[in-house]
Amino acid sequence: MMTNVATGSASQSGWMQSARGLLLTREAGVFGALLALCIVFAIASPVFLTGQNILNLLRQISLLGVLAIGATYVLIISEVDLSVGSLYGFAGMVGGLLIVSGVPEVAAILITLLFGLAIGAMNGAITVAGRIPSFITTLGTLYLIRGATLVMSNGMPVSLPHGQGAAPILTALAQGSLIGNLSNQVLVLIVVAALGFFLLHKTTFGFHIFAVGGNDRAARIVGVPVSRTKIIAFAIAGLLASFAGIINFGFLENVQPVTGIGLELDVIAAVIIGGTRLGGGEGSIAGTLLGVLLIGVVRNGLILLGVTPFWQTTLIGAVVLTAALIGGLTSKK
Amino acid sequence: MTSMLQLRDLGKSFGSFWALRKVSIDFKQGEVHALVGENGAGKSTLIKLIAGVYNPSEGAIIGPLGTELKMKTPRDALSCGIGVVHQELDLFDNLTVAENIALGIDDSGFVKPSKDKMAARARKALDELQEQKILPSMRVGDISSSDKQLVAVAKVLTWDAKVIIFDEPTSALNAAEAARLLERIRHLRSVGVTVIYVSHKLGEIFSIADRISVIRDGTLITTRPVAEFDHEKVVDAMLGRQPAEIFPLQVKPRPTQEVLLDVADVHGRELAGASLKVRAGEIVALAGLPDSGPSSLLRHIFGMDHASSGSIAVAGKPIGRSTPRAAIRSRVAYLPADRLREGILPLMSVLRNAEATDEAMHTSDGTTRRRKALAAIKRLSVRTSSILNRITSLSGGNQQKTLIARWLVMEPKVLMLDDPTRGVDIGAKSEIYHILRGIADSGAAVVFTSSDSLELARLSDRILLFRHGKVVEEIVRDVTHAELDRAISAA
Amino acid sequence: MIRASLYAGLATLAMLVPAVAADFTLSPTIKARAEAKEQPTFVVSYHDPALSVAVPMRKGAELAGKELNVNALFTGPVGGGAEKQVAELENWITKGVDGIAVSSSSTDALAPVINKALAAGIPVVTFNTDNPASQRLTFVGQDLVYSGVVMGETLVKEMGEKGKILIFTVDAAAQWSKDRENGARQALAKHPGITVASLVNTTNEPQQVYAAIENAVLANPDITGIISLDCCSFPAIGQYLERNGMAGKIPVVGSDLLPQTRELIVSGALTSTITQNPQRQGHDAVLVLNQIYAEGKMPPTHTDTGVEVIDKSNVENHQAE
Repeated sequence: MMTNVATGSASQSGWMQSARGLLLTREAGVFGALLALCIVFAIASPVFLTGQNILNLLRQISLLGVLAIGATYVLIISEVDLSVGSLYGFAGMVGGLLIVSGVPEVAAILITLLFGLAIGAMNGAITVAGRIPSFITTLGTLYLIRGATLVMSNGMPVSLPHGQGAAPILTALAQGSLIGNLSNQVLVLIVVAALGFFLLHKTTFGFHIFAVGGNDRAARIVGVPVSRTKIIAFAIAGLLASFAGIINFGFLENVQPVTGIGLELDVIAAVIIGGTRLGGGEGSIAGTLLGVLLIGVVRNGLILLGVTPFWQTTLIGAVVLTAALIGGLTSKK
Repeated sequence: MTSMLQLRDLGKSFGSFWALRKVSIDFKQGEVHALVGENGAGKSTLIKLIAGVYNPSEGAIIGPLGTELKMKTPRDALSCGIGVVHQELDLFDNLTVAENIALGIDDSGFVKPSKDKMAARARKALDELQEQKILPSMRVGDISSSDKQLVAVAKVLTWDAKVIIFDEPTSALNAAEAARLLERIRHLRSVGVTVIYVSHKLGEIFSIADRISVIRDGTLITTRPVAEFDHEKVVDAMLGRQPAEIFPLQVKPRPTQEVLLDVADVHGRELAGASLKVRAGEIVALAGLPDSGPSSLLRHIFGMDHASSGSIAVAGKPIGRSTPRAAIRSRVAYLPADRLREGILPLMSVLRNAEATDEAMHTSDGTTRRRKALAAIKRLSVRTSSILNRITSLSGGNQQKTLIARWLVMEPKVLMLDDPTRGVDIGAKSEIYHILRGIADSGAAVVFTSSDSLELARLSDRILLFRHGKVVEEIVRDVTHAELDRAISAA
Repeated sequence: MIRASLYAGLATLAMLVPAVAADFTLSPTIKARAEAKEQPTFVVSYHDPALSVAVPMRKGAELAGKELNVNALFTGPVGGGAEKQVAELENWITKGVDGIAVSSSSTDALAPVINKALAAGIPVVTFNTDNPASQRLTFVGQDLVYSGVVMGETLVKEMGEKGKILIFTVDAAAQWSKDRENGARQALAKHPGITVASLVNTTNEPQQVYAAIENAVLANPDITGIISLDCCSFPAIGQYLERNGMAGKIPVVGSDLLPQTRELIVSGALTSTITQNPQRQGHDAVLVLNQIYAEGKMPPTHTDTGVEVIDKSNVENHQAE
């Protein structure tokens, strides 16, 4: 009888192990989809696999990647941040106005990043202290921050004076290339991703992120500082959104009051495609990068093919649904 | 012996309701102190106070040095040397065994401990439990609930706590696993750890405890060395009256009556060839360890899970691949164990809750439905100032009675209840027992499971014992709950 | 050539003129207020006041308000959205104003509310973006199909009668975009040597605008000309060409004179722009409403605010909008 029990349980956990194996293929699944799309585009367009296009593509996804890495933290703790699109536009506007009005560039950048950090932390603090679903909190700040951007700019775009080197650091970060023709934006993404990976997967804070996302009641009992962890996750998302926003300004040398409207949906889509569970507790930086890449490839490839504009949106929708289905079918619980 | 933890007039109120009142217990170093009481007697509240989950409304907790311990959070309690193996298993399904064990102790630095370090710690703790088949790298969501229980114990062992509270630690373990755990606890005692042991398995308590404290209705009834107790005395102290006053009279099986529920060789989730017959007028208890089949069988019969093979018939008519709606049409009723999530409609009134199934199935017209619901609520004497109050304003027992009323409206042939008295106070329990007996007497078949072996032994006409997904024994003779406990854990 | 296209444009315009409500009568309340010479309130509703092109429009409307001593309110749904604009207008109708000028975010969605205001006796004119499905009293602005024609002709003039071109727009589904696209295609169709390689929908997000331009130009390295149908994808094209050493090599014709557009025309990365004089549109919308209110004078069906082609030769004479 004894041995029966043991083998019974062992075979059961063996079965569970193979289910876990399936789960692992989820990131592999995204990778496979990405590969398949790349092959289709490579056959259909002679330009797709050219070095120039790959360099372009990598730059095109960099800022979305920076935003999505921040959002990964928030989604793993089973929350959502809808305000990052607004914050992205707001940060460009704050940084732009400060620089144009003559504030030293370094100070302008620091002030902008501080704003992002503070607004993100505020999202977290309101959610935690007010016991409000973050969907509602950040829906509120989405409008608040967009409104502030409009008021601040009076509806006018803000541009750097043309060709006068008014913001050398930002333009170097956003337009320069240290390595060959690879845009520095890609290096920015790599650095942010590396830091993001370390923080999420190698530090105690990252450990706590997964614990809070898995079971926040149990996390509290174990002694995880649940509220603090949540607030920091939102602060990271805010910081990275403002960082991406100010780099966007450095790249386009211009920011409009409508910059970033709807961007939060791209960000969430990228993270979900990358295998982060909307219910929290699971996700990875590598997966998020794959998700961002997938969205970038779809956008890039369809324009190269000259496909009717509206198909692009349709295909992104199909990709999100497919990714969600793969997730739903592979996770049993 | 020195005192490790002293409770002085400890109490906790929620609003005007006192869940615990003026409890004073002195826990000595190196003793196993059993805490017993009915569900809802206040044991959980007491544990949560000691563990820093709740803050006391009155009284104080005194540490070994005679100073008051002010514990605001579970982490405070841990740093005072108090660890808890929670009944609700506060583990993380999304993390590995090693990570679960490391979380809470090894997470003060900036950098997370390495995988190897966490795995080594977990291995050591599991080895102490002589547990080999659980690997540190397994995801907790992928292991069985008895393995989870062991991980929870392993976790507390690594905490190096001076006082460890075990809250129903063997409820999901088989006899061998339970015996191994008790062995570990004896070892802890021998090295001077104070163990507070909460269980309703009296057999276990008599084999391990040094002293027993009995709690009833939020107050401490008595604390005495185990030698001054026997089974009868503990039960009497817990219930405050004789079992005969609480339970209705049992009746002998009625082999001549019609078979209303006929389950033959059902395989499915947690089931491996379950068969049973229940006749009109009888109450049958399904006993067994969690996961051994009883709860799962009820879900299969009600169409919430689907059998891979086997047949289920109600009143002679086989039901195929069923859904809850189809089961209800066959006049099968099912009361789930998770009352909050699967039972009540929390935003609706008592009356609407009682009418809900009839309304969803369009069984009667509005007037008839209301008349039936009112009659059922009255028959079950649901206590509320108004039937239009939200059901959440009721006590657990009255909520449960409302849910039974919901099924009475449907006039079921088979009434199935999964652990129906969980979180119900002793008075309401007794009422529910008599209600169930009344339903059986009116010609229905009643099938139930319970986490309380006293209830299994005293409410039922016969007991079907489950092991590994099938019925292995039928118990018709009178049986004490201690004997039943042993039979359930024997594996 | 330009003259010929002007005639073509006017001909198209004539075909597009809808039936105007001949039976509009001013509500008695407004009439009484006008006779008492009370200061009127006009609402100028633009389909997205957060767009940069709205800024000169607001300026024009406010300027007219000062000149004529009327209360001119420039408003609209921030971020766009037909249903929000409809709701706003309904509120203004309920509140009671003396005249409304509307730039429609969607022809079909806005027509009923415009007709509702007219039925209530409130004068309604359209400006900037017309609403031919409604019974508006007049359209104050540039004819969009015609401006598209001028874009096409201007590009042909710069590029020659042979080549392969790209057309960019931030919103291919919008009525204004379709109108300008039609106009441009009409003009280009006269030259069989010219093919349109692709219509590229960039969306409004500046990063995506830039990325779309980058991708489309890379996919079509042999293009000889570019048209941008709107204010906002236009400067990004110049920015891209400038950064990739292509400035001045491919003629680019677009719309409006944003500050960046102006700089890029000066530097030679962009060739010509068709402006619709948004300040005049805002100004004239108020002017026409005041004529109806103060003088009871019904306007003609189209109040033209003109088309102007700006390139390097005359850009010094124009301020950015």
